Amino acid sequence: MRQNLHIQLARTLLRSAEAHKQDDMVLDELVGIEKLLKDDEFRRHLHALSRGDIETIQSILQKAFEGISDVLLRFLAFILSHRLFSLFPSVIRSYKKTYFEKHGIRDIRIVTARELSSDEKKKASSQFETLLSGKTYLTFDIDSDIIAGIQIFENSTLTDYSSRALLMKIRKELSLRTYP
Amino acid sequence: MEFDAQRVIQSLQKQLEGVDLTPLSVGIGHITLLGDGVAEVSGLQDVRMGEMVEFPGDTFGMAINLAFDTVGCILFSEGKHLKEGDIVKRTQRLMEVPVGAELKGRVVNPLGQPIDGKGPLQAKNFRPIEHKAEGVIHRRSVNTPLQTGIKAIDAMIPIGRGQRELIIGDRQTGKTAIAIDTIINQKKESVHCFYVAIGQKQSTIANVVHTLEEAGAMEYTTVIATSAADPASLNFIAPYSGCAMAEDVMYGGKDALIVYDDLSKHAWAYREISLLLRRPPGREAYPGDIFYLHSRLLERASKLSDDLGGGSITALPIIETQAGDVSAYIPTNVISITDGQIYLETELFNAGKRPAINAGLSVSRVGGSAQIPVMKKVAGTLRLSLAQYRELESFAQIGSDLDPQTKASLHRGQRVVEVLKQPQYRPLSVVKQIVIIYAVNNGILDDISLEKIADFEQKLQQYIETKYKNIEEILKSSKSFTSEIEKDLRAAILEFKQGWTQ
Repeated sequence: MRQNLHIQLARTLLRSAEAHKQDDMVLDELVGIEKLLKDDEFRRHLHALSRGDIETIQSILQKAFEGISDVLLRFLAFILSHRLFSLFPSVIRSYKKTYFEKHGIRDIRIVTARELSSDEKKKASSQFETLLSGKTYLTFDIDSDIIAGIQIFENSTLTDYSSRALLMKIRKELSLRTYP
Repeated sequence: MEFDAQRVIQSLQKQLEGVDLTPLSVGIGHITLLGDGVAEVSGLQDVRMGEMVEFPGDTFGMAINLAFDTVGCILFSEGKHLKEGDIVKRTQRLMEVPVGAELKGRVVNPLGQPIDGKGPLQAKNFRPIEHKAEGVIHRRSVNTPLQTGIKAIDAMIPIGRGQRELIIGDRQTGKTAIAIDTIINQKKESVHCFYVAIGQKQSTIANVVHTLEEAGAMEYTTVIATSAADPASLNFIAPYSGCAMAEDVMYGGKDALIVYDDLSKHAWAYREISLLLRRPPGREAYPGDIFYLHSRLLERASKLSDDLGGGSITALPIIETQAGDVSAYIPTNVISITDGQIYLETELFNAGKRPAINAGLSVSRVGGSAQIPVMKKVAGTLRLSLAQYRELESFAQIGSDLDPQTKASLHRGQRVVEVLKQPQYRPLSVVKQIVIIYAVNNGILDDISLEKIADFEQKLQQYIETKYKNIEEILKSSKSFTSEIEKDLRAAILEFKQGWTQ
């Protein structure tokens, strides 16, 4: 069923990565690609590869992503040649989720309005680890739309300490109670 | 105008007093698949069935498919700006709509947002659109009539408050007209009316609103409108929204009337959503729970027990048939759910017999007990004589040699048919109906030519209204049709007939 295809694909990728003892490496590579996918042009170029056959795709990918793990290279080529590229972002998310669940790691994404210094990042990491008393996987993102403050994404929960969220709340309260 | 900043700040502070502005943790998910008006979302842990979810760009949706690891949502707007990977937030609120007296005279969409340009809705209360129907303990049997103002219905297919009466027929047979007439007739009855337009043309909705406004019926009516251009999700929730608004009236101990125009389009919208959500298709590609879709909606129409205030919701669902086929999937479903049906026929409509009600196929299963006693007595034989006439009518077309009794039956039947004709948007009070039905049933109109019957009826009504106002009161309040009342009524009609010139 296509509805859960991304989950099945992610599990298959994780299984083969584990078999080759490359699951950590694939995770890091996927996180890197996930960031690159935010760029529309990169996305378009990658998508354009779908037109070629699997060998051609594989050789182009090998040149484009130097040092990429064999498992991910083959998987990416498979996805593109089977025109399943639209599922790739969901596959990345599912891979991360399954990987973290398996290793008891908490996936935390921190979004700030400006870039945090390395000191601030280190401080945040140690504080989260103490607070959550366990292993954490922290990623940092910048989104100027939140104006100021911080957004913490943990698994499927968002804790919003941003100025934008506060202003939205005030707007909602001040506006006449029309629905929604 | 002087601008006082201090005053503005004070006013804002006052409004924000007691408002909790501490950040909250909300459940989120990511869009994994986007279709026409539907989205598949991963994450959204612990989301409830029917919970509202917020998409980026002030787009709202509702969770209706809870599967392993994914949630199927319907979108309440086109959502062209949405893309794969976008964050979806839980609102922790079940889908709800504004309710209350503020809705009277307003045209709103199924989300409760006004679309009539009359400014924001100042509603204080909200109700979830899905609500379990009351059980038998909290109900009582139908005991008060809901007068439609249409002679053929009030006499032969009476509707009680709390009843569900289906209006069924092909396109262009006058289904909406019956519903609108019924709404117009509630002017003096203190019934809050709701008209739910599902997937109709914008022009049709505008016409309905205009008609209601002209008749002064918008004062006690709320229109919940979705047009053919709206997403299927809005068409799907429209009847539930309308029902939630009507329930507020019912639980307030008052009477509500709700028209669903029409449930065929509602079923189409649900089929569309279900297919997009990849639910397995069944007969005519409808999903397996298509019966439940309508049964849970129509079960909410009820007459509450006195303990719960005695309020009621009368539902008039409309179903459009294709080429008169009442045995299709959706019509048979709704027929089996409702407490009767008013069947409209194209042939009757084209022959000028309007409202084009087929008395043989139309039935009211519970309304009889709510009919006022006098009408029950006067109109008791009407249905039978009309059925006999229809039977004889076909015989008469074959042979010309008819015995005097058959001729007399045909003669009477023609007059009954003529009396039951009624122009659109001109509902009659129950007393006026009783007068003319008594006259035709007792042969007083037998010597009047068919073309003159409408004129006779109109003038008779005026005569009774001006000269015998007491008869009106007696007919309305009397518990039985005594021989004295009958004598007075007959005398009044005959008195008028003597002075009336053909």
